Amino acid sequence: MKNNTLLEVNDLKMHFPIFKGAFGMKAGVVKAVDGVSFSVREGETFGLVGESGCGKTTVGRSILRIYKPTAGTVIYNGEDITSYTEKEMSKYRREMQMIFQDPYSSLDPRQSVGSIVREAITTDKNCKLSLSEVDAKVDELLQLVELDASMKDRYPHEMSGGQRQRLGIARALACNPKLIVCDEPVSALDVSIQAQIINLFIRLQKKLGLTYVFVAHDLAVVRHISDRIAVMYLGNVVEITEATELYDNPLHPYTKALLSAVPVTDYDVEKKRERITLQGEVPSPINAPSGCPFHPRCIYATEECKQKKPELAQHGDNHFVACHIIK
Amino acid sequence: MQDKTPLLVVKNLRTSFFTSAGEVKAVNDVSYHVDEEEVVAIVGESGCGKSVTQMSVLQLVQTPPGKILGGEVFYKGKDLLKYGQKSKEIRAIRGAEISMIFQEPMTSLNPVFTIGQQLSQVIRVHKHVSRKEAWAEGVEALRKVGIPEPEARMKNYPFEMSGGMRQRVMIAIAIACNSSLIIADEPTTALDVTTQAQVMELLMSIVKGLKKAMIVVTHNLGLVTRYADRIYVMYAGKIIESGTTEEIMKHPMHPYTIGLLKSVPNLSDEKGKALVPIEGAPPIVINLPDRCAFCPRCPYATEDCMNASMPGLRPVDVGQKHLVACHLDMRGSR
Repeated sequence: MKNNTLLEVNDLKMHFPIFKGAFGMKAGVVKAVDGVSFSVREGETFGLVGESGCGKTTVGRSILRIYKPTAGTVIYNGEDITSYTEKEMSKYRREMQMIFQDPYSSLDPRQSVGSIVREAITTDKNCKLSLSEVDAKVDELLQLVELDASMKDRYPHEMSGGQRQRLGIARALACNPKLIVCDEPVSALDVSIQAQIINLFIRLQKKLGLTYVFVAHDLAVVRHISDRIAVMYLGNVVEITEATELYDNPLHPYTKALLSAVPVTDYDVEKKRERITLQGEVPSPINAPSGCPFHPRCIYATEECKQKKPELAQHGDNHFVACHIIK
Repeated sequence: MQDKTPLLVVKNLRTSFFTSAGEVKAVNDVSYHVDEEEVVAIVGESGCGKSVTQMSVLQLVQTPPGKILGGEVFYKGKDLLKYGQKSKEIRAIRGAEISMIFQEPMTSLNPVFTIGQQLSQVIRVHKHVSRKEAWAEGVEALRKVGIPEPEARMKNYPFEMSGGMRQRVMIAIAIACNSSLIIADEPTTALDVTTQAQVMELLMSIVKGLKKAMIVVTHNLGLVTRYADRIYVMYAGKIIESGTTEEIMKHPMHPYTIGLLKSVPNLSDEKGKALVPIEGAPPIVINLPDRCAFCPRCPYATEDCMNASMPGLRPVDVGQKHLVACHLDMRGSR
């Protein structure tokens, strides 16, 4: 693994205004992402994990500049791309790709497999390949994601979920990307298929030196594939650390609860595990609580937690936690 | 250990769907039982027939295209399949004796009625009580499932509640008539992990507290390990392995079960442990040949497996309750 930083996100904020009434009066804001910072090294897999509504997808999309962030900076390859125009962004569009959760709705149902991949190759303005070279590239890409060449003339509806996700990956790879944001890429798949796709991600990374930002809600999947993980809650990162450390030594009360909520299949381990069941529900990001976003559900919460929002602070090697309780 | 009395015994159940492409044998000769106060899990991937099996028990399979072709479903000694699909008898069982919790709480709650209307309707169908009494019982049921301010919540519509809340309402409806058996079909699949833990803990405390029995239908192996007493593993419309949770999780015997356990990433795994996926995809159960359905994906399959007919369930060891449907002896291979 190389050590240079490919992506840096500083104090990223993404607020969506809500409009109400006939005159479209601004009625409030959804603070989907409220001050998130992290960096991703070249060649690593950075996991973003959290429950629905925590803002993990919004972070992923802001990185790719699908959204224009409200505040904060996104630095890609040393360049601040936060306020780039569409035109300025275009030079990075191919380098930064996305893989979506639902491979069915992200593929054109009227396009054949071959044409979906071919389009991704030929839309490149600098593409100087001849027709036969493009065809060869399509074959090569399908082979790379382990799809049979005979699939070329099929349509997405004729494929299984796993095959469709492979096609989604092939399309992303057609652009020779450096960074791929994977948004819940395996959660729509059957359990026996998930492992095939996860292994494919790992193989492709080794072969092509890809950098992944892996967004998912399944902690076990994220831990399996990631080098480092950020745990998100209500638009904030509450803990960032190495994947092994996160499981062996979680510090934030929310991370602990999240980990204990996931049952494991090892019978003896499972029977001995401590279970923390959180009370209540995730508050709405429209009326986010003051201070620490987790304090209404936290059993350790003090007066300080209600008033002051904790910052990420270092506790041990490469381990950052945003919590007042941990000293 | 003394044998408990079985509450539900399903014998040789067969349900098929007749489609233009052919007969889909969704449930193909399935037998299982649930004892009193027992939590039984039916595990399998989508399309394996685990939900249809449960729907068949209560005759909720839409006919046509579906049809229950044969078998027996004994509940407290009575064969439910002898009753007509719309008979008074089966309607007295549904909801009152055996209640069901469905995966999608949004689609199984009626969007144009309030929670209170739906909840008290269920109670009034099965009990001879006044509207007022039914309403009060409804409030009580909501309180049992941990919904704050149940009186106010009765007047809410489903869309005004979060996913976790809606699933709690489903549980409240299921327990409102004090049924002895709860069938929970993927009860937490649509929920977030911490909400899943909340809902499962709640369900378990109700089941254990009120001494009910429960069938959990799921694909989540971790969930099963944590909550189930016994497990049935289904593949392509058949039960291919059954036993206690401990036996199956520690010593899985069917190559499919072994494969599933190896392919699911686990929090307790060593970092860097490679996942071993099951190659291929689950079969579509139309016109399957008479042989082990897992054969084409099985890494251990031999020439004999390809030629032999469908293996039946047999004890792993003589006299054991751990059953497996496989020609091979997989002991010690995990």
